[in-house]
Formats: sequence, C-alpha cells, structure tokens
Amino acid sequence: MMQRFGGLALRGVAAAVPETVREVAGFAERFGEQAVARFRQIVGVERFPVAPEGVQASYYAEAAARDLLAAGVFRPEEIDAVLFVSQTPDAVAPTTASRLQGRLGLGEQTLALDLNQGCAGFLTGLLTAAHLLGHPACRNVLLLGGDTLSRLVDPADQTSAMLFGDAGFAAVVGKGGADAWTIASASAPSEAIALPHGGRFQMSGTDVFNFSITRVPEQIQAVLAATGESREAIDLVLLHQANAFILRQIARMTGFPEARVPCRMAGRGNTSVASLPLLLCDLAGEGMRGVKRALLSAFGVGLTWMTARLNLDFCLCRPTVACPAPRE
Amino acid sequence: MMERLAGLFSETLGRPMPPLAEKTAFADLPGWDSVAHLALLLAVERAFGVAFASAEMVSMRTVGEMAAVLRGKGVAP
Repeated sequence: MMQRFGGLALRGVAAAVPETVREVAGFAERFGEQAVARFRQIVGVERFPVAPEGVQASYYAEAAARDLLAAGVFRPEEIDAVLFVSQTPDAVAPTTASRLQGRLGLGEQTLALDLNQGCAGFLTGLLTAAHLLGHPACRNVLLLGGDTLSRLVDPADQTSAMLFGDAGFAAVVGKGGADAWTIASASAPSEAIALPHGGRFQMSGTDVFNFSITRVPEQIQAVLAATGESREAIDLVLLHQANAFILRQIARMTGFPEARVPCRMAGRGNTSVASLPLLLCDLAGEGMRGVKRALLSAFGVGLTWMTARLNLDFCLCRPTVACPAPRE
Repeated sequence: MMERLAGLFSETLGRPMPPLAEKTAFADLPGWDSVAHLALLLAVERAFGVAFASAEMVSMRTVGEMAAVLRGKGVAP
C-alpha cells in the first residue's frame, strides 16, 4: 500500500545506546578466527552496544526522549499520543507506552499505545503517527522505541550472536511541514525471523537476504516512481542497518552511489527497530548538515518492508547519547 | 571454471572442498552458513570481475547454477 500525507513534520529525533560494548573479535574463541573475520568483512560489525542485565529498551527510549525535551523539541503538554515500538517491551501489560507516559510526565489525555514490530518499526511508527495526526485533535505524536535483542540471541548461532546491538530512540512528529510524505508498506507472512515466547531469536539468514535484496529495491523504485523524483533529487538514502553486504547490494540495484547510502554498522551492529533513528543521530554526531530530501527504507521480521520519502527540513537530529547503567 | 570455483570456495570456507558437481548445493558445502554464502558471492564477483544482479544472487543455489550465470556473463567454461 502506498500512502501520501500532507502537512507533517518530523520535528526531532534522538537515540540512546548502552555505554557497554561487546567486541566481535572476542567471539573468535567460540566461532573460530576465520568465521569471525568473515563476519566482520561481510556484515560490517566490529562491536555493538549491549544493555546490562535487567535494563529494558524503554530505559534507552526514555533517555532519548529526555534528550529531545532538554533540546526544546517538545513539551509534555503538547503531546497527544505516545507510541512505543518494540519486540522487547518491558512487560505484556501494562503497555510500555503507558509506563513512559508516566515517567515522562505526559498528560492523562495522551493516547498510549505499544506497537509490536522489529526492523521496520520506526517507519511503522511514523505511518501510525501520520494517521493519528490526520485528526484535528492530535497535535503531536511522541514516537518511542527500542530493542534489547542482544540477550535473546542463541549464543551458539554465529549469524545472530555477533549481530544485534541494543538501543532506543525518540522522535516527535507534528504538523506544519510544507511537503507531502509518501510511505509504502508491504508484508509477506513468514517465519524466517521469529522470537517465540520465552525462546531465543531465530533467523534464516539466506531467506532474509533473498527477500531484502529483491523486495526492497523494488519498493524504493516504486516510491520514486510515485513521487516522480529522480535519484539525483534525493540527498540521502537511509537503509535499515541489517548487513553491510545487503546495503551495498540495495544501493547497487537502485543506482544510488554508496556515498549517499551510509552504513554505520561497525560500532552499532543491527539495532532492530532503533536502527534508522540511530543512523540519523550517528550522522548528526558526525556533523551531517543540509540533508533535506531523504528516503528511508526498513525491512525485517514479518516479513515486512517499508519505504518512506520524507523531508528533514524541520528535523533536529541529536547526536547519539551513550547511557551508563542506571544506578541501583 | 569448476576448478577455480573449488579453489575459491575452499579459500573462503577455510577447508578442503569435496569434488564439486553441477548439482552440488552451496548449503551442502562444509562450513557453509548464510554469512559464508555472501562471502562466496563476493569472492566470486571479485575473482571473475563480474557483478551479480539481485535476481541472479537469489537464483544461484548450486554450483551449476552459479556456473551458468558466470557463463552468461562471458566467463569461459
């Protein structure tokens, strides 16, 4: 489904990661030197942030939201809905969004809603926010999310044990942008990525690879066709940071130069739902300026794939925050 | 070509390869996993100076299917 929305603005994005990192080189004893070297070369991960035992994804989402608060991007009384997107919520009930509503001092009239989604979750959240903002009563949506998948992987599984980093994010979506957003969404039911209740994360790497390098380029081309824009009109293509090889292949198949398709997996790994906002914030920390016309594409569990064409004119992207463990 | 592929596979997977046949599936190669598969694709692209399209990458599950794609790109059998 391809949807267009007018008059929206992504006002700000912040991301937070655990201060503690795990080095991929440290897996050599478990998986062998050659397998680890191959992983680093192909997947592009050198280290990734890991949440301490007992610390939930919501801790990092809250830290990111507080960073936006401190930067003046929003005030609690301006928020009419708070969404929390994750595969690792604090609990089945109450919703993590409700807990964050309380922790952040949002008003009682705020709609608080959890969304269960993984790698495509940031765009799922933006799409949901866009629909909520279609009602006059909704002025701003605080979109929060994060995952702590590093503790749910099978430690014996080479594909996932070295891949998943932990992170959280916050974004504020409001009204007032002059340009239209275009968001394409698609889903093909599959168990290629799964996280059973009480179980370990499971992924069929080959199925995910095949899906990513075929369906995502098709969708990117479809969005460009819908907006009538050329590749040259796009300042930056932000892809879910799944795997460096996949990113290069998608860039190649869509005709975008790799310089406009940044990969920052080396220090982050795949942070699931937080990957796109974390990428934006990492680029902001590197001094990214003047990016207006962005294409964002994310893909993963579902299988779900989504692509959004948005403008970042009004968006304050904050440098990523590294969070120490909470005090006891 | 098969001999060169066997050498590349052995080097990439870090172990001796059994004799390769057209029907040999990559998934049956010793030391294969999904990341190794991508490493094989990259090694073959670099060694033969070719670039695989996504549809070609998805279509190659056996040594014979890879050899056919390479022949289609002008690589001598």
